[in-house]
Amino acid sequence: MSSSVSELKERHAAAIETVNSLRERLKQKRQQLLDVDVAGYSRSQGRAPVSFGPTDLVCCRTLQGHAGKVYSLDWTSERNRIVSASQDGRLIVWNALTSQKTHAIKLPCAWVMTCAFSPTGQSVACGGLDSVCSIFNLNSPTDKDGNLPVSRMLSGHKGYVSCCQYVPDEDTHLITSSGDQTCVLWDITTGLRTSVFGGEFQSGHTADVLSVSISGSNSRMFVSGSCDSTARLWDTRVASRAVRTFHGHEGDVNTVKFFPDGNRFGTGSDDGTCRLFDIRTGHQLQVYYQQHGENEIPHVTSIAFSISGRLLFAGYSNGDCYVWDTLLAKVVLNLGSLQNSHEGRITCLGLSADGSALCTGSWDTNLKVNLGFWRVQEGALSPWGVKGL
Amino acid sequence: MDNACRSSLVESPMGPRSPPAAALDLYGKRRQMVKVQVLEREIGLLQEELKSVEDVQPASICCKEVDDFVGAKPDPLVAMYDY
Repeated sequence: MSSSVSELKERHAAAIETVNSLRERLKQKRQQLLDVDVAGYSRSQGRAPVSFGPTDLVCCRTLQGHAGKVYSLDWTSERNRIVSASQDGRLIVWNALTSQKTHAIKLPCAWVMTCAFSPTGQSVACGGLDSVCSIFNLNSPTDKDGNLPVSRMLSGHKGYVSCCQYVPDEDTHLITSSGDQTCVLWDITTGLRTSVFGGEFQSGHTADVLSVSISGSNSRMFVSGSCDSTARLWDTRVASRAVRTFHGHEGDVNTVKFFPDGNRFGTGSDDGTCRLFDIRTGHQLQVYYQQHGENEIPHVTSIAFSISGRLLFAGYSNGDCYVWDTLLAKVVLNLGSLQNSHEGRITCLGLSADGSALCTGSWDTNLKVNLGFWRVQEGALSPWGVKGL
Repeated sequence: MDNACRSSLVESPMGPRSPPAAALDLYGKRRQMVKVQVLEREIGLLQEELKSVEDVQPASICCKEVDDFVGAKPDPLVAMYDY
């Protein structure tokens, strides 16, 4: 601390220059290693495109019940239940097969942004502008007003809770991302923070963190997406620094999701693109971008992969919902243009655990459509009528 | 409680005192120092990554892995599978 302020400013300026020049060198080195992208490779292998007729994937059910914009949804690990979070200040638990609501949970803070089902399906978590992640045990008795009480409040974030996900196979641990630039691994049993990833004195995101996704094949690894235009890979055993930082996006990274093989992950951004990154090499393997008119690039708000990874569902701020063929990087269907689709921004989407159904949530303000439930049309092809099964 | 407050006021010496060192951040020196430290750590990480990228396999190997994985896994939402 013996340096003067002016000396520190000089060191700061020099350090910024060094960081920029190292980043540029790294970018060039990486560029040399990008000999092909996924689409180029798969084309060279003669991979045939996925084809979808307008009636192959249909919205077979509308889950009505929310009285405000839907911000988040999550499926249970068994296939038939969905939890959704809405600006109406409620979480609703749905039986997706019957469209019935099993729980309508009134939240202490209506400004909810995210929700998640626990792996056993016995609890749900949510978070939002109150900077708290609240846990509800669905088996708890309701209070005298008929409301389900909060069973645990996870407090410690200094900014809004943007996303939460339970650690697979554990109802006791959960990871949150926050506007305070950190992610936190929580022990729900004690209500305490097990680890904080990033923050003022650590190497981490330098702006709000908007999304997290935990690897299905190695639950110690998770990725986060941030307003600093990067995604970062973290090891829950090493909180002090990210394992890797992924550059490339030119806007907020709104959503991240692991690819089904656990070795890659997808991102969606304000820059209008989705990207596929490789976690071991750090390579950006593919950019998914559809040309739009000047000055009207819709933001990608949410993404999900089909169970094989062949399809990437991407929701956009203009109400489009593209189905990308991940191997050939082509849009094969726009769910947003189909009859019975949403009338507002797609905010969230997710696939059932068995991969046979897609649920989408929207800002539809007229209460008409809140959650769409999409499936391969019965009769067009049996959902299990796939070669090899 | 009142008494405790009063006695501490009486006991405290008069005149200007230095605030605790940790709270002193005249001209934002401490903040500036933290910024420099964060950047210097970043430089270390980038140098490390630059070195490790020498041994990284080309993207085509990852692309093949993606193509192979997708090709081997059945998918109920993909109606027209080409395998």
